[in-house]
Amino acid sequence: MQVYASVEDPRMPLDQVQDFAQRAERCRFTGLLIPESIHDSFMTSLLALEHTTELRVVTSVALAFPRSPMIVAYSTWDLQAMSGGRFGLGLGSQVKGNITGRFSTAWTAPVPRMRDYVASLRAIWHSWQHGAALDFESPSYSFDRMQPFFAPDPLDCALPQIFLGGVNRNMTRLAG
Amino acid sequence: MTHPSNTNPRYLREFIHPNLAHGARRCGRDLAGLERIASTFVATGIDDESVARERQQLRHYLGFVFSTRQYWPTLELLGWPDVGPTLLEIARAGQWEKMPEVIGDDLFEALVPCAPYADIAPVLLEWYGGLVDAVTLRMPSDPANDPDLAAVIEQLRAA
Repeated sequence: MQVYASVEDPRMPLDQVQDFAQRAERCRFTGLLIPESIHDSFMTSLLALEHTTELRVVTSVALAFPRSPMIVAYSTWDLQAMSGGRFGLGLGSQVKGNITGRFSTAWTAPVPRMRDYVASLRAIWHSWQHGAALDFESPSYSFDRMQPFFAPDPLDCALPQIFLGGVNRNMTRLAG
Repeated sequence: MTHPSNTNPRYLREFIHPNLAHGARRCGRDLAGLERIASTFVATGIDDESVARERQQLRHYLGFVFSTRQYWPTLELLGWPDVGPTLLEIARAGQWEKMPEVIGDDLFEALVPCAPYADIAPVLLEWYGGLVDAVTLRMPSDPANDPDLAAVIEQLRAA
């Protein structure tokens, strides 16, 4: 059985992430789960990956809907490339009040939107990995423009693994 | 990736797995192709005193978490359907300090594996072995206890 370290204090200052991640690695944890409450979880992940060599780092969970899938695709690609494949993308929907009131972004039915979100990421990554045209359309997100100048190089490691938070029935089915 | 409020083995077995499997079947996959991380609450530590401290901290956290309606399914499944609405009322009244006492010992122990580091690995394997691929543990508040936690991790990863 694998064992992940959870960050006990989601308010941990970023200048303590290095020490915390290195301690987790010395304890032989499989990985570190990075929450997202007062920090951008991709910034925290970058610090944890930069200062470790074997530890997996997985967002738990990064908020999907306030961010364009393209933004998340770039962040994730960078983290996966710089760490040699140690990053995992955990995504969550949050609740309506936070998406509208805290982030000033639109709320739509979360399960179909998350399905489109994950499909968008896969389409974008496929385009970058294989140099293919980006042509993705769904009810929630559409992408049809990716000039070579904006396309990162293919990864030398596996594509990032995607995790979804599962509490209720339909999101758990989507995770499956 | 589960939420700590809904990671009881019975909830995993009776709700999470059938729904994961349902979704996987629709894509021609099965559970073997999925990595399941259980975000577990565990009350553990170097000695009984540390475990008692963890229990008290987690009791506060559980009281807060279960005031949110979306996290009530496990309470309902385990036979404590009144706990969530009671906590919600307390939250609406702003009486946060009253939340921990709503989480009684029986409920707490149904939700949280408890044992010192020396004994916790077999407890976790009994709760979660075969149900998930990974569990979570918190780092010790005192780094001097890291080697004891490392021994727990070694036992779990070898299982």
